[in-house]
Amino acid sequence: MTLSPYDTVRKQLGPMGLRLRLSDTLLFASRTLWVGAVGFALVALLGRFVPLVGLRLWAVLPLLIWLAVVLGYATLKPLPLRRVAQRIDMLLGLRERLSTAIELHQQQAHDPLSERQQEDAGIIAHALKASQLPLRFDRTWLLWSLAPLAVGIVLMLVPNPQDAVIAERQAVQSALAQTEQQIAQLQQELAKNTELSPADLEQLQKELDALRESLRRNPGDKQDALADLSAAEARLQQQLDPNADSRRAALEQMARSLESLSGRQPSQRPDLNQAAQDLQQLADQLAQMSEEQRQQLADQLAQQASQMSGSDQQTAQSLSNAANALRSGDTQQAAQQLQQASQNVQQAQQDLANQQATQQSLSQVQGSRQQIAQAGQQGQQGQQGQQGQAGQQGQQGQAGQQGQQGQQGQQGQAGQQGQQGQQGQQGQGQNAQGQNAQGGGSNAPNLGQGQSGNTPNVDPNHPANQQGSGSGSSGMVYQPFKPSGQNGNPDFVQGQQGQGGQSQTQQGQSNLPGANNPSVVPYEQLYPEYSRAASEALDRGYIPPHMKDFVRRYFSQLEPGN
Amino acid sequence: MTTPDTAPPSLSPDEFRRRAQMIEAEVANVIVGQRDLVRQVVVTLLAGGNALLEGVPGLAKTTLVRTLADVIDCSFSRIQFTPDLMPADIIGTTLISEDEQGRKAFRFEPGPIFANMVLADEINRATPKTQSALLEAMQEQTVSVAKTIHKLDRPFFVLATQNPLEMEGTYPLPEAQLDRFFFKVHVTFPSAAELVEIAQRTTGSRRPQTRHVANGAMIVEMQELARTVPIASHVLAYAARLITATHPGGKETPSITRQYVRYGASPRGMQALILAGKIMALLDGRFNVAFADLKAAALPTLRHRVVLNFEAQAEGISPDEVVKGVLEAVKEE
Repeated sequence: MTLSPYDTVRKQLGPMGLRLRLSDTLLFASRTLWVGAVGFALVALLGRFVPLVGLRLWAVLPLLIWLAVVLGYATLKPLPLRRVAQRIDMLLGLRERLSTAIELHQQQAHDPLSERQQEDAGIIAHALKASQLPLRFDRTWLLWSLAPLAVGIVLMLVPNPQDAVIAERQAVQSALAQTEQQIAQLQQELAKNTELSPADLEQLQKELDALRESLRRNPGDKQDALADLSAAEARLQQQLDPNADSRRAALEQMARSLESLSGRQPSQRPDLNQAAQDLQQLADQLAQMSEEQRQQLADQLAQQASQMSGSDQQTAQSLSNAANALRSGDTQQAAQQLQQASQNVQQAQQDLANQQATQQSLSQVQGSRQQIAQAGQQGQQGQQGQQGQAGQQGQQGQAGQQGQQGQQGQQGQAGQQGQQGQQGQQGQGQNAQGQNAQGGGSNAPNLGQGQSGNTPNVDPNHPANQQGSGSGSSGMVYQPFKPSGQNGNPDFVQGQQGQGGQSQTQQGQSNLPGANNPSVVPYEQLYPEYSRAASEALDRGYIPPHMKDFVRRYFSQLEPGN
Repeated sequence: MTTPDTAPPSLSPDEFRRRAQMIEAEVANVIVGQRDLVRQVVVTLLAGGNALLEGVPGLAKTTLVRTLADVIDCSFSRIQFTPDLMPADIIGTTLISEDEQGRKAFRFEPGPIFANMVLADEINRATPKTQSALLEAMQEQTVSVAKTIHKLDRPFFVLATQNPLEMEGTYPLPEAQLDRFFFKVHVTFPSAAELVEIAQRTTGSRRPQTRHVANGAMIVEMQELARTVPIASHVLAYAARLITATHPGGKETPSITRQYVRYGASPRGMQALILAGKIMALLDGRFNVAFADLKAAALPTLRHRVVLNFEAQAEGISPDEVVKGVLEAVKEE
């Protein structure tokens, strides 16, 4: 079957149109490649100054967009039959034969000259082949595009310093998530603690909630996270009572005395509730006591009052009043005072529980801060650095049941002073805030187990530094004075009444020169003092607001792990 | 797309081409070289237009017209334009005549304009009044004398000449009158080889002879066929863009036009451009107008329709340069 001239033209234009589209696409691609290449190079360059997660994907994205545009151009660009005919006329020099024939057919022109024209176009079209159309591309633009492409590839292949930043940020994010989880667990534990008063529990939970929220919002910024943790740490420290340990020790000592009075064997961890009951029981039994027993009780109460006067004045005052009342023979007054003392002991027990919870939260926050400070640096530090971190952990006492064990340490130290002498060194150390310090040894002088047998005087400003120990240290620094600029405060080290012995009290000053107050100390030991002092200064408004972040960043950079 | 509305002519395109080639060949027997000149004059003839030839004396302008008239077997008259030439000397006049019975009556005595081919030699030497008498006949192909309109025979073809050198004592044709000419053709000086050939042909005892290869009816038939050549719309749009580009105030006007042109070509110029393109397509053996046809016709069509400004005259810019600049600037697609 013979095709009409128009059909011949149309049939031939089909494959030629595809070829034309391909040629156009190649030309478009060669002229626009530089856009994608420049985008690729710019993103690769930006990735060397700004930490971009998935840099390779971001860098390839401009090229992918360019490719999508090229494909869209190839598939979506309208190329109607008339346009194809016009362009083939132009490219092959057909003198507008094909386009005129298409137009004549569409207008249904049937005059002789129009039919001759279409016949002529059909003859010409019949001899055409798609391969006659050249595939065009712009070589100049293509060559120009290679330059940014090569630059981008080189930038992608050369090691990128921002990779370490990204890794650190991811590690920080991981540490933040872990910290948030730990804080949540701590909150659950605190919620189960029945000894806490609802008001204190609520305040503590609010503080921890705020901290969790700030950590949750943190996109991985280490400095911000450390600043948040430092601020929370400072607020928690403000809630701590520095005399809580001595108060607990005094109350426990009193509880042991009451146990002895009750004819029971003094326990290592006397129950303050039991002590309150013992006082109540004494108040009830006063009427049945002989005068001699009352006088003996008055002496013992007076002695207890004397021992507690520095740590729990209210209880000491009640005991003292009870002793005086017994001496004057006013048993009713004595009973009232003993009941008052019993109530004071119960209140003190609640206060100490609050302090313990606060201390527990503080330890958690400190541990988290340390964890985040070290996040992302594991791969960058050598073995010595890892040892230094371990030593730091030992000194700051992150592990274990710090609060409870700290009490044991305090008690052991007290026993050393009173009766057990050399054996008192076995107790675990605890600083003034109740931080437990454990470790297997230290390469720092005057640290570690067995060092404090002849050092009853402990400076409350940094007792943990003297008693704590670690498995390593990353360096020694000279510390001629303390960050607070204060001299050592008087400290009471209480003895324990032993078998047949007498309790005694020693009072000392911790600013004495020598091994107890060394000027060369491990850096990990020194840093927390200064960091704490800075946090306090920030919270108390000593630092101008616009400089607070600067101070936080500065101390974060001084973290031993950094 | 333009398609014919009238009844199709009986002449075939092939016959059209064959006749045109025969005319050119016969003219070439007398005129040495000047192929472009001959082609453009033939195109003007087949388009039913009039041509203005510009060239120095002695380049066979008159011979060309006379030869052409001989070839197509048409009546021919030559008018030498001088300052004292009157319109009546061209178109004719009404005389009082007495018949055999002695009755007197007015009788129109046709002038030399009443011919198929008229050579208006040195047209710029006549006064504008006389020039306008000729130009009415060129445009309307009629002559009005004493309220009587006399129709001129077809084909009617005026070929005017003017000397570009001797401008003193001349009356240059105004732009409106120049627009009436279909083509303005530059008659170039022949090459040395052509001069030798001219000498051999014209200085010997044997004179070149021509034969009739067409007649007036055939020319009219060819004129009608030429108008039926189809032209695609995008080619037509290209012609329009070319014309627009000669105007200094257009949106897509090239810089050369903005700088040197005072007035651009008229719509009549576009008509001439397209008609010339159609004839050139047929002469090329095609049945549609191509961009190339329009480009080939652009110079003779537009050079006398583009009015240059003072700056162009001061810098010696010719209309041809402007038209070439326009052709370069206007893209085909």
